[in-house]
Amino acid sequence: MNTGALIFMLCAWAVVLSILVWSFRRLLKSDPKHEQLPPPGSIP
Amino acid sequence: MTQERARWGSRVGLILAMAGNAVGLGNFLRFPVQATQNGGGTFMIPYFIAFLLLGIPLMWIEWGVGRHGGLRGHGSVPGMFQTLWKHPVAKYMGVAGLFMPMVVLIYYCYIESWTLAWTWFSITGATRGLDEPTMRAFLHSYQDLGNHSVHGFWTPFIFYFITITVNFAVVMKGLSGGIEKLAKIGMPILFFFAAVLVVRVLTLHPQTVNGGEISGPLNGLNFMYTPDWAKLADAKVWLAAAGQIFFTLSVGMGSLQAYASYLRKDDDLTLSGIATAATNETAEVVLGGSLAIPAVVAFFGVTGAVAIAKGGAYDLGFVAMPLVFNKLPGGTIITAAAGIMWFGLLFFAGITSSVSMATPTTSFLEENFGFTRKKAGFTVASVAVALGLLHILFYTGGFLSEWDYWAGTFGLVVLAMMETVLFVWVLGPSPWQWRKVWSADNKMWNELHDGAAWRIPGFYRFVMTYITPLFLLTLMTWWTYKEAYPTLMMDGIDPAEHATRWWSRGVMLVLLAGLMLLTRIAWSRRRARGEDL
Repeated sequence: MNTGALIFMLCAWAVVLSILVWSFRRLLKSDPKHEQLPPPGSIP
Repeated sequence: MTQERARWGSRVGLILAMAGNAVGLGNFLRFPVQATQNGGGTFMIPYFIAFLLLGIPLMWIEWGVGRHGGLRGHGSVPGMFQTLWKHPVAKYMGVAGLFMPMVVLIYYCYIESWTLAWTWFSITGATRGLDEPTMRAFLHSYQDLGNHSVHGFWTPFIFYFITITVNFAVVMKGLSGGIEKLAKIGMPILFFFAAVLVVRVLTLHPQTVNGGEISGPLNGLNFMYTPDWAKLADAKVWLAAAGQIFFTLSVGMGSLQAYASYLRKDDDLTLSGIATAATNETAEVVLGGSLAIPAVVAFFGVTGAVAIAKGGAYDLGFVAMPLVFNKLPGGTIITAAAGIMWFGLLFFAGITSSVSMATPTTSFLEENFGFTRKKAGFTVASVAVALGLLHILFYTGGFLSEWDYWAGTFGLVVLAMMETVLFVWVLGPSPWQWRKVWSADNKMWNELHDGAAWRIPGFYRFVMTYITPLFLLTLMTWWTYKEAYPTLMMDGIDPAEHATRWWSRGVMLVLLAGLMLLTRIAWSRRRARGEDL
């Protein structure tokens, strides 16, 4: 595999995978209100 | 109808369903062919620029249009457009968002049924030991009902009915119990199968092919990614890249909007939209790009791969790949396992997309005519089966190609253009009110940020208001000039196919007229109920 092709492939993979990891990490950190558990004792 | 709308069960389920909608057969078959034909590595430059300026903004716009309409009780595009623009014509423009997914659903299920059939053939070993001419004959006998050299007349019908049944069983189970569950099962299986195949393909040993050429999987990657800088100045390459981004993200169809209509007001759509797009791009660039072309080059050399790619995506997927599996070291079990995984992943890629295409019309019937989910699903399934049979009967006459071009290609840009204008310029400020574009009362921008887990960078205000519409206008003009007019005139089409193709267009027009009529009836009923239109 020549260097130019390798660079293009690795760059393409890096762009896609970094957006994927960044977006899912941020999503997992954020906590949607309706998916939060109710406070303890609030459910009879 | 004022019934409570269904909701997504979880954010992960929503993103997997949205990504399942976007990841389709094109990720594994169309992308490698496009990249190879348009400058290899340099294709990735316009591809990523189109992703940032066209793909991601359209993804947000579609999620925004969908949630905006959904919160006002509309799960399909006619109603969504009406909520954005209070003009009587808006709902008829939105019929495109019922027509396109319905048309694509009908022929897509037929192609999807091939993947199911070939999974079965991999299990039974029907394609084992075939060489190139017999593998082609195997596919052509399946496509041509008059050719009984391999398959019986009823074989394609059987797999088509199974595919339609599975699709609508999922749709009728509803959002959380059907579509979301399918995505949670299907997407991990798809990624697992693809990852296993990529590892197997990339670890193949180089060998002598085509009388002396030493070829291996890295030659395939080399062939795909070697930059051709001269092509970067070619407008066609930029338009091909923009087109690929368009198809791969399933924008301009009406199905993303239908899924987004089930979001709550405080649900994030900015980060979820990016996560969906990134999942699709991973399936396409990392997995799709490392599968078919490297595998075919490893066994047939670059010359052989070029010849196969010229035959189109179906030849690559249904002729070349089974031939590759026949040549894999390890015997019949490995051949069968590779075939099951390849066609299995294509099937899951297909079904997670096709159930989304059934959603807009199903929701439309539920919300406007009071149908139950089952009744609406059964009605849509009946129409799909009736018209799908025409595709099976007249495939070789070009019946499917007409639908694929007018609804599955050209129509997508038209719908995307309409929704961009309505969401960005009508809900938000018009393009010549440039100060308002940056102001705090830009309604389009605020709509996108309701419940947002992440703030979109400010320059996207400019991109969405000016660049994305310009990009779409350029694509639409180019395609009209270069493709739509010659296609309409049937330039270069075998005259023997003309009659079938005209008849195919006629059926599409009848379907469009039927959906227009249903929309008219639905709005008359809403008016009679005294709803605020």
